[in-house]
Formats: sequence, C-alpha cells, structure tokens
Amino acid sequence: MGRERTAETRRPGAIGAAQAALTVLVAGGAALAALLLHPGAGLFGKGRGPLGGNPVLVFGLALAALLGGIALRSRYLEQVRSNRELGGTEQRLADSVSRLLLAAALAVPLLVLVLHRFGTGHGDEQARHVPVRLYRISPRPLPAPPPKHTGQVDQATHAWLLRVMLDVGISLLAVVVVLAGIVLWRHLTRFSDPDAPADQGPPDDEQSRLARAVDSGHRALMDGDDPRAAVIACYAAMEASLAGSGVARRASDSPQDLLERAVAGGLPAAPAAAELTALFREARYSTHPMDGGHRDRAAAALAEIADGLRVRAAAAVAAP
Amino acid sequence: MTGGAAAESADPRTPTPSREDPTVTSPQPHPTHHDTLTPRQAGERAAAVLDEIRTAVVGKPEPLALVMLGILAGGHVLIEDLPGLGKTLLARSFGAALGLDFRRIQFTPDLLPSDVTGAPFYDQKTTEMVFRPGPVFTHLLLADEINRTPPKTQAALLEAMAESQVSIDGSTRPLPRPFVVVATANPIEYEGTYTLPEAQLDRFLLRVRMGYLTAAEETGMLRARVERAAPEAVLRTLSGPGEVLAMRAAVERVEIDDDLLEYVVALVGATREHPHIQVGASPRGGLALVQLARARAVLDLRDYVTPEDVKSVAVPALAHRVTLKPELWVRQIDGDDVVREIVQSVPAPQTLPRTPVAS
Repeated sequence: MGRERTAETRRPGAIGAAQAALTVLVAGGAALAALLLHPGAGLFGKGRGPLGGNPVLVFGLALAALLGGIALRSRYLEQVRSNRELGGTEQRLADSVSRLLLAAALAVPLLVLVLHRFGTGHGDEQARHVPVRLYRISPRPLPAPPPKHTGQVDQATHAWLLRVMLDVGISLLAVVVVLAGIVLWRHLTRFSDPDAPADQGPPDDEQSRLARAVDSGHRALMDGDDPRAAVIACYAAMEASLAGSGVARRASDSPQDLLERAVAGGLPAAPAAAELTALFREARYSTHPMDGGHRDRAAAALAEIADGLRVRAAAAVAAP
Repeated sequence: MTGGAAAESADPRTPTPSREDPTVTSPQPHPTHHDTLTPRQAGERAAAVLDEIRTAVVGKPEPLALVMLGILAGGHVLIEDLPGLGKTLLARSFGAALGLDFRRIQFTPDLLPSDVTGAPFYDQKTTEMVFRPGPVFTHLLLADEINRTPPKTQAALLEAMAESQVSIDGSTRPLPRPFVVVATANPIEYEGTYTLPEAQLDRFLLRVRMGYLTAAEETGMLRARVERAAPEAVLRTLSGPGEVLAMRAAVERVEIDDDLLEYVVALVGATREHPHIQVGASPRGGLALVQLARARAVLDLRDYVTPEDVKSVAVPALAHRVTLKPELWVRQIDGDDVVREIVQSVPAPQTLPRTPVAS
C-alpha cells in the first residue's frame, strides 16, 4: 500500500505481448512434451509417443531443449543484471528463477532421453498397426478381438483418419510454439538492447525536467497578480523538481512528509525548502492576506532549491 | 466529546480547590475575562503549562501534548497503558498546573454509581433530603483504572461526561465548567478488568498510550527524583478555569479548509471500509478529528489547520473508535496499527486547490 510505481520502467503493451507469448510457449511446450511421453505407463515407465518413432527427432528435440533452456537462462540473467536495483525479495526471487531454469534445461532433455523407449522398427510397425493402443488408459488386457466381419475396412479407415488429424494438430501446435518463442525472443532482445532509449532518464533529462519545473514556477511568479497563487505555484514547482530528482510526492503525503523524505534523501537546500513549505501551508490552508513579500520569499527559496538540485545533478553527470 | 466548547466562555462555576492535592501551590490570581485570547496567545499559554508539567512528568512529550489537546478541544481523555507508567501523575499534574479543581476516583469492583455522582441523604436538623455532591462535581476528574469497576458504575460516569450534568432524584444538576475527565485504563487483557463498551469508548475524545521510557529518559527521571528530594514535584499554577475556557474559545477561531474537511471524511470513511475493521468510526470520530486538529494548530501557534495537524491526531482520535475483526487478535494487530495504515493510504489534499483562493 502506498507503493510508488515508476511508470517509465514498464511498457504495458510489450509486457502483455511477452507474457502471452511466454504462456503459449510454456503451455504448447508442455503439450508437446506430454505427447512424447508414454501415456499409460507409470512415472518411470519407458515408452514412446506418437512422435517417438524417429530417434533422430527425439535426440534433436532433447538437444534443442537443452540449448534453448541454457540460452533462455543466460538471457534472463543478462536482463536481471541490466536492472538498476533489486530489493532483497526480488533478488532472491531472481536467483530462484535462475536456478530453476538451469535445472529445467538439464532435467527436461535428460528425462526425454532416459524415459524414451528406443527400439527396433518391428515394434513400431506393430504399434502403428494397432491404433487402439494409443487410446488405452488402463493396463488391463484388451478383450479378445472380435471375429472378422465386413466393417473391418471402415474401422481401418477411421483409424487412419484419426492419425492424420492428430499429426496435423501436432504440427500446428509446433508452429504456434515456435512463433511464440520467436515473439518472446524478440521481446527479450529489445528489452535489453543497449541502443534503445533508456527507460530511466539520464541526468541530462533530469536537468531538463528540473529546468522546466523551475521555469513554470517563475512564469507563475511573473504572470500572475495573485501572490497566493504564485506561492502555491512555487511550491508546486519545487514538488516537480523533487520528483525529477527522485523524491516524488505520494498521494498520502502531507507537505511535511515530502519535506522530510527530501531532506532524508540529501536535499541540498533544506532550509529554503522548509521555508517554502511553510509559506505554501499558509497560502494553501489559511485565508491570511498574502502580499509581494510572501511571493518574493517563495521565489528566493525556489531559486535556492533549484540551484542546489542543479549542482547536484551536474555533479552526478561529472561522476564516473 | 462533550459537545463543543464554543459557548463555554461565560461565568464558569469554580469550586473550592481540593485540599488533598499536594502538588498545588498557592493559587495565583487569574484575569476574569479571557474571551479575547487569540489562537497564538492560547497556544503560548498552553505551551507554558506543558513546560511546567514536564518538570514533573519526565520524558513523555507526545502523551503530554495529546492530553493538552484533549483539554483544549473540549473533550475527555482516556489514558490506556500498563500500571506504573505515570498515568495518574500526568493527570494530577495537569490539574495542578491548569489551576483546576481536581478530584480523583479510584475505581474498584465494589464502587457504586452514587459514589461517583453523589446521593441525597436525610438531614436530621432540617428533616429534609439534602443532596451531597459526589466527586464528579469538579473541573478535572481523574477516573483511575476505570475498567476495574462494573459497567453500571462506568455508565454513571460516562453519562455525566456526555451530558455535562447529573440527574438524581428527578433533578438535573449541571457540572462545573470546564469539566474534563482524564480516565486511566489498564489494557483489557489485563486481569480483573471490565472492558469498556465501544459506545462508551466513543465518548472519549482521544486515547493516549504512555509507553515505556527510553533508558536515557528513565535515568533522567530517577535523577530528577533524587535531586528533588521529595516524592512529588511541586508545580506552579499557571492558569485557571476561566483561562481554560478562553483557550477553548480560541480553538473555535481556528479555520479549516474545505479540502481538509473532505480529507477528514475520507479518513473516517476508510475506517468503515477497511477489511480488518468490523465497525468503523462514527461521525463523532470525524468531529473529534477536526477539533483535535484545530487544537494541534493552536499548540503550534497557528490559526489554520494543515494536513499535518490532521495526520498527527488521527490515531489517537480514531483508533479507539473502531472494532477490529476477531481474527486479528491472534495476529497481534490493534486499532492503532490499522488506523496508521489508513493514514498512510488515504490521499491527502492535493497541492493545487480545486478552487482558487483570492488573496
């Protein structure tokens, strides 16, 4: 509650697309992996799925899972390192995800190879000609085959049609998984692209925001005839400049709360900020008459604060 | 809350000061007309009284200020904490320094309502029933350990607090003005206590918790006791009933912006919608918050309220008015924690006013 969200560090559209791609990738990948596993045996029972007939394909998929998992982990670590600051909980979470990705990259291909039943083509041919086994759920023996009759041809046609539809569905699923992986890869690449414009504004940007805030305060001082509005505008300019330097006002903050946080964060002109805050309180919450003296004091305080922040920002730029 | 201090400015009844109070020095003469105190003057006098009390009550600046706010705002104060933390000393010191008639009732399980309010007795000389006032007929009443007495006797006092009068035998007798009750209570989980009902807690303008002293403050307290060479500090009387009423009238002259009133309403409303709270604060909670914020402004020598004033008194004004859900007892969450969370989440008034204010 009361947490700040830094809007500049998140792109909702990109994150949404990436999340959708990741979801499709995970769900589709899991479905493909499930198809490679034997459906009716126990947890450690060796078996072969519909795509398991070709050993080269199985080895290729295992190798792809290994390389893809390692690549995904390295990309993730790179992205995490590029992040400026992580809290304690976030850091622990990132470490856990990294370890999990490494374990998954090794375990998944290993399980595929260990649990797959590599055999001669004879058994495969036999399995291919008994399509009923694909849908067997319990290991109970099948009832004795019915005597031959005239509908046997139709049953064979039906099995063949099912096989074709299953192959087409699996192919479509594989295409979707590949596309989702491409989308996710592009997102990760774009997110950590060093040439892309940075989300967090550099010190130059901070200076420009500070200058705009101070200018708006000065414009209010020059344009308006109302000293009360001018004092409030000066304080608003100070708020904007503080927000530009990283101390944004929270919704529940009183002027004193903001001042204390700014001072705790190393505000260079603390006495001037305190004076401007006191002037603002009187202008904003009282009906006391305000005159040019109040406006001049507010302007002087704002100028002092702006100078202090400008010097600090310049020092930050000069620092390596 | 006793219902506003605006009209309490004329002809206060001043009972004879109690002879039993050892901390009161010779009463000083006080001017009789204090109606024209400005908020700044009232704040300066209140600050002087607080400085004097700090010589007796060492190391409790915030509880002392909160009790003073309660008196300035025209309400009654509940001090809740463990025994031995200086609750009684604090209340007695206020009576002495403010020059108010001071009585104390030690609430016990066998105390009767007539022991608090008084009762008629038969006068053999005049052969008439004569009313003998109870200890409630005073300016500052210390109701010590109020939750050690059964609800019947508690109700007798709380009715007097709400109405500022006592009705006995068909006749209504007004209480002296100002009438302030400073009640102390042990925490409800302490043995041998009767929990104050929520409706009666609502009559206290604020609840103050004393808390333990830091090690340095406790050492200072012991040093002060050794140097004093007496059990009790002797306090100067710096004020009187008339001046207290004038200070209350000054609080009524403190202005408060509409945005701040909406902020107060938002805070009170948030207590009614918070998931941890079963019953939120009543509208009387909002009134208490406004009056205490105005009193805080006076104590800071201002005649206008700021958001800081509201935030600083939100917990003392509202925490005892909310009823938490039962499961929170297990999680050691109390009303103070929840109200503090509400204060940190409800948006304060924005920097720019919605309607421009002309100079």
